[in-house]
Amino acid sequence: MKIKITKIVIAIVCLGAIYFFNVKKNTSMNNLVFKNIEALASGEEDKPNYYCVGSGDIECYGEYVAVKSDYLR
Amino acid sequence: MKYLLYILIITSLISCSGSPTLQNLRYTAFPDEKSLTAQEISLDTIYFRYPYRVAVRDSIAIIMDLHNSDFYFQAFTYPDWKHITAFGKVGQSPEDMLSALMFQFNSLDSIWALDAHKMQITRWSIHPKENLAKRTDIISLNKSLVRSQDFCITDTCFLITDYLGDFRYHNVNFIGENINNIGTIPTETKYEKKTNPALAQAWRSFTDYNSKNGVYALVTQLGEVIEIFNLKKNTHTVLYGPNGEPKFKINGGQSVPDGIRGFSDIQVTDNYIYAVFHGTSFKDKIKSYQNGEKPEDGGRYIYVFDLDGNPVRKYTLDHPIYGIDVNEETGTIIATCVMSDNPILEFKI
Repeated sequence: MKIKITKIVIAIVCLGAIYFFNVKKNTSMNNLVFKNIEALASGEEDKPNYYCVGSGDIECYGEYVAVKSDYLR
Repeated sequence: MKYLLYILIITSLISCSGSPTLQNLRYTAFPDEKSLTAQEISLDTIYFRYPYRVAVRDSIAIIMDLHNSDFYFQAFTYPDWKHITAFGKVGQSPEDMLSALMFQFNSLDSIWALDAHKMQITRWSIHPKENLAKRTDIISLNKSLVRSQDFCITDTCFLITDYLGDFRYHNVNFIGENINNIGTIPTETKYEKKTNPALAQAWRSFTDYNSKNGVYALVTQLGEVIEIFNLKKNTHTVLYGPNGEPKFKINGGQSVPDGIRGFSDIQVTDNYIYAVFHGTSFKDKIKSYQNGEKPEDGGRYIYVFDLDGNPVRKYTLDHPIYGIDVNEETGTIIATCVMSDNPILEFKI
């Protein structure tokens, strides 16, 4: 009986470890991918920093342009 | 035996963890490829800034100019291309259009135009003998739709792509009210809900609907995704091409395109789906602008799929194009070209 309980406890600990590992992995990935969004949410949302060039069908500030980019300088 | 059970449980849990899953179908190549050469059609009498869409019905051709300063639409006789009339005046007055973005030409008294700024769909009729067009209906779209960028008309409602990223498209009745929300954006990447508007911008799609077969198909402006809703069979297919789903960055809550420019127009015929594909990288376009050059604008490919989404044929074109009108009976594709003084091209398939 004691051995059976030990096995169950080991299994639960393993499952718990796997769960927390995955949560941590996803959180780190989200932090990387959405770092920019967090910055925007903290007050820069009204100050987008991108450029609209040429005529085309890419929506940019309600207009339609060829390129919308944050690379152009 | 019990250890084996634990191992199985643990293994299955690991396999269900948060890594991206490839849930959509893929295509990599087309079984048939052909090159097409255009015949340029000169329209001396009308100057186009950005001939974006073309549709031909009942011996009439209509061209939509996305950036014209006077009129968005020009009607011609077809196939001899004699000018009939201009309509959809650009302007601020109540009868003018602020930003025509799409149109659908069903018959001479059933031409529908979407004004994205005004959030209106207007119906027009053309009278070739009198050389005029009349606006016959105005439908104001409900403000909850925010900004509609494409639409198709069916017997019962409009199909309008979603702008906020919470759904894929809406059924909108003929008084402009949203009556049903359908689907979600079929991304394979996990995003937080607050990024939905930017996701929807990146997944902006061009659409077409064929009432005979009930196929409503969408192609993405960025990346390479084709989506097929068969509204009669109630099926939904998502196909990713080699360039995958739209790539974008988020800046100021807006989507900034990355990766490649994907599709620019789609037509669902009775038997096939035709889509204009660009495949040009935004980085290359930006480099051209930085070097003071104007990059090529338009797609040099027309992809053909069957109604189930199986790749059938890839046409490679000698001109870059934007909009198409396909007539399978005559084996003709009429296309618009924004790079040439001759804005209309004709391909024989």
